[in-house]
Amino acid sequence: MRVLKTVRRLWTALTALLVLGVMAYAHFLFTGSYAFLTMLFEYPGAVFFVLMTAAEVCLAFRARSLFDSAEPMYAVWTLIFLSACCRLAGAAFLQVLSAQIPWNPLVIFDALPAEKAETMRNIGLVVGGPVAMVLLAAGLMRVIVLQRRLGMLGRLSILDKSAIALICIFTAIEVSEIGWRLLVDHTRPGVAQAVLWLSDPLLAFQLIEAASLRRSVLNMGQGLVSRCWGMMALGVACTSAGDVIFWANWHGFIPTVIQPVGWFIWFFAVTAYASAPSYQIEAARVAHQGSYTGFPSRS
Amino acid sequence: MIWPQKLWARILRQPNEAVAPLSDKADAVQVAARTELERVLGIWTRWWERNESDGSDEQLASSVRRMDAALRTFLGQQALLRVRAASDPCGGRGRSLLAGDRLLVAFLGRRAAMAVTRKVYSNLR
Repeated sequence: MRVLKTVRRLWTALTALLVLGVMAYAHFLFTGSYAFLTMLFEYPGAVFFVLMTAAEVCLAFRARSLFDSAEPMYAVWTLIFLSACCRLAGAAFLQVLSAQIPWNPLVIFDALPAEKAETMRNIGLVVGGPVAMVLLAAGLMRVIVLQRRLGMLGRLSILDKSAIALICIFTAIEVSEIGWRLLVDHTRPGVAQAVLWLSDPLLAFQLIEAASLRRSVLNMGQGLVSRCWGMMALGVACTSAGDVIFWANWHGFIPTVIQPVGWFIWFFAVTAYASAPSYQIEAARVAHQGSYTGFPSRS
Repeated sequence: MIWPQKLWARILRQPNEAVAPLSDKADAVQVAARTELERVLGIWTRWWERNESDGSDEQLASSVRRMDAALRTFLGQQALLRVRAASDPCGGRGRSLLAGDRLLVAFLGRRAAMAVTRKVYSNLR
């Protein structure tokens, strides 16, 4: 089956960014300077992140409008759309509004004191992190329930169970570290930090959902709807991998030379999330092709 | 009154001629859909009333082939095999058509599934 035009455009944009990333990484390897890498993540990287999430918002909204409000998939796409909105708000706060970059409007108008930047960064982290995750997890859970009801959900394989076990072990380690900080170090976390601690259990839950979705995709085959949920599962898997890499970097388990490679995984996650609704929209377009009812307009 | 307000007032007063043909078109589509549904339901009812083993039914076979193609496009080959496996032992191609319809309604939505169903049953007389 040929790759959709929209999906091809999204992944071509990612490839272009990765080419720049390889050049910046090569510069880092030869000179040891982070200058080009920092520039890549602050300019084209930030723009890519915001635009790709905006594309996801638009596409998820269109996918939502393909269903009537009484249908189960309407609720699913509403939750995914809201989750995408939260990720877009988070990206805007985190990548643009709280960053000391020349194209930040707050920097241009000299209205970004340090404490304000920190507050906006925290808002971005919370809204784009746990809040978006809760909405996405709820949406994916509804899809899984629907697939189970229709007999499309298969049993998890050994590989699926191993991945879930690994992420559960990782979550347990994170929880024990949090407990250590609270009980032994007597750290008093802020509200944002406390909410952010929910990210890892939520990610573990999402990874279980992603494994179930992957299994159902394998049970269905390579249809347009299956590919939609396969892309969503890929997005969740990349987010989980990004979180594990972040944790490993923080603890110094990854050599400095290969650390920047792990940062690029977030671009894969956001591209996969944007690709998923494209397949749902294409499925509806193909369904209406040749029928006397037209494909629903963008309005 | 400034000119945008005047313009807005005129727009509100004027009967919207642009909408009228659209409304007619929507009505025509609804009537066509209802007629199509009644026609297919009539055929289904006739099939149900007579014995299913009344000779080979080419029209039904053709619909099943179209439904198979639709399931393969939208869900995938494995989904098609699962539908067949779940339907065939109970007997009758009609059941596999209904199971396919059910999956399409769930994953594509009623409107898109209806469009597919109309194409699947377009050969029925």
